[in-house]
Amino acid sequence: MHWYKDKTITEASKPQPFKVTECLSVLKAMWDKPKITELVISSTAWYKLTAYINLVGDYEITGFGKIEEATVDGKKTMAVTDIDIIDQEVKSAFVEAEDDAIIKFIQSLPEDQRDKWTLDWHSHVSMSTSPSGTDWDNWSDMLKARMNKQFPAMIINKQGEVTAYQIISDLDQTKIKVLIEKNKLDEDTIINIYNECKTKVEKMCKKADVSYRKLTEDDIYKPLENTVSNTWFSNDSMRTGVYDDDVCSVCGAALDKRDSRAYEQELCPECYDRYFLGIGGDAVDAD
Amino acid sequence: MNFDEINNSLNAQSAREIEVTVVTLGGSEKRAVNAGTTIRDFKERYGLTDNRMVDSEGRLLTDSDILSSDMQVFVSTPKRNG
Repeated sequence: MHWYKDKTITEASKPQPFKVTECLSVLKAMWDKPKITELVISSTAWYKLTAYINLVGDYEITGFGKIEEATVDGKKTMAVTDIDIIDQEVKSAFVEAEDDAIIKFIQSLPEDQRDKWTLDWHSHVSMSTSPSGTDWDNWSDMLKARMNKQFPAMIINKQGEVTAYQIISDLDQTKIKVLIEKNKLDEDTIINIYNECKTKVEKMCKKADVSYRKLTEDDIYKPLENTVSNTWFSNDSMRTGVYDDDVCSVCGAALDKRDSRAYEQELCPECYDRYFLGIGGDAVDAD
Repeated sequence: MNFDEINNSLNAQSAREIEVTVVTLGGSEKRAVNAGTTIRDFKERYGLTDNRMVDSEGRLLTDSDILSSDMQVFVSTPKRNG
């Protein structure tokens, strides 16, 4: 029990009518059949994907893809006919795009195409194309932001490996069979695609300015600015940018200035209870 | 100043329904709400409290903004993959 909790005063307020959160769209999506079980990536789209993931070198990149009905070998299927990227910050193991970049992308689309650019893709450089925890979390957030409309999500790497899922709901995802149209494009088209992708990468991709060093005892009380470092609160956590003094460096919750011990170490009271610092070593879980 | 008249006109406005077109990566969805609903109430009602919402001109809609007529809003969340 923290001292500040003993001094918390709770004031009862007059009961207010409870406002429900609409969940009809969640119920409708639940156990829904996947709208896409097979996806053909057209040659143009594949060339663009290959260009984008190679243009960024050893960094990850992300974007969206246009999906349309197509007939392949006399069979009706869904095909990725175009690929695009958005303003983003590329890193070697992560890629991030702010919500306003995505809104800017949506607004740039012709109105009659907004329901076609549904493919959510990103690259894993040379690593496995299995979704990470970060990927599953973000797809869950994306589902909510899409008003619970199911969507396809794809991960690709430089080896040409592809994994795709139809995200139906938080409880349900199905694998999508991915086929690639192996149709060699003429040189002029390849050069045009390359130049288009190169221009977009130069304009839209930003690289984080990072430096790495091992934390020392002095760093516990001094926020690091504009650096990326492995924090010792979690084995795989990485943080970028300037530390925000008012936010817990582990979970992001607001700090409580009344708990000075936790506050000085930029931890919320719960995380201060959960972890204690190992000087120069790995995270030590208090549990 | 006739407060009854003012209050009655406000009540009449809130009883009027307006249509909000929510545009996302998944396309557009229409939602009917009472005029006078705040953006905060709208976001809470549709589980969009963690999402950025802008109008068709790109202006950020804050929690205290009020929906008073049919409009189009654009919604998204940050993209983080790795």
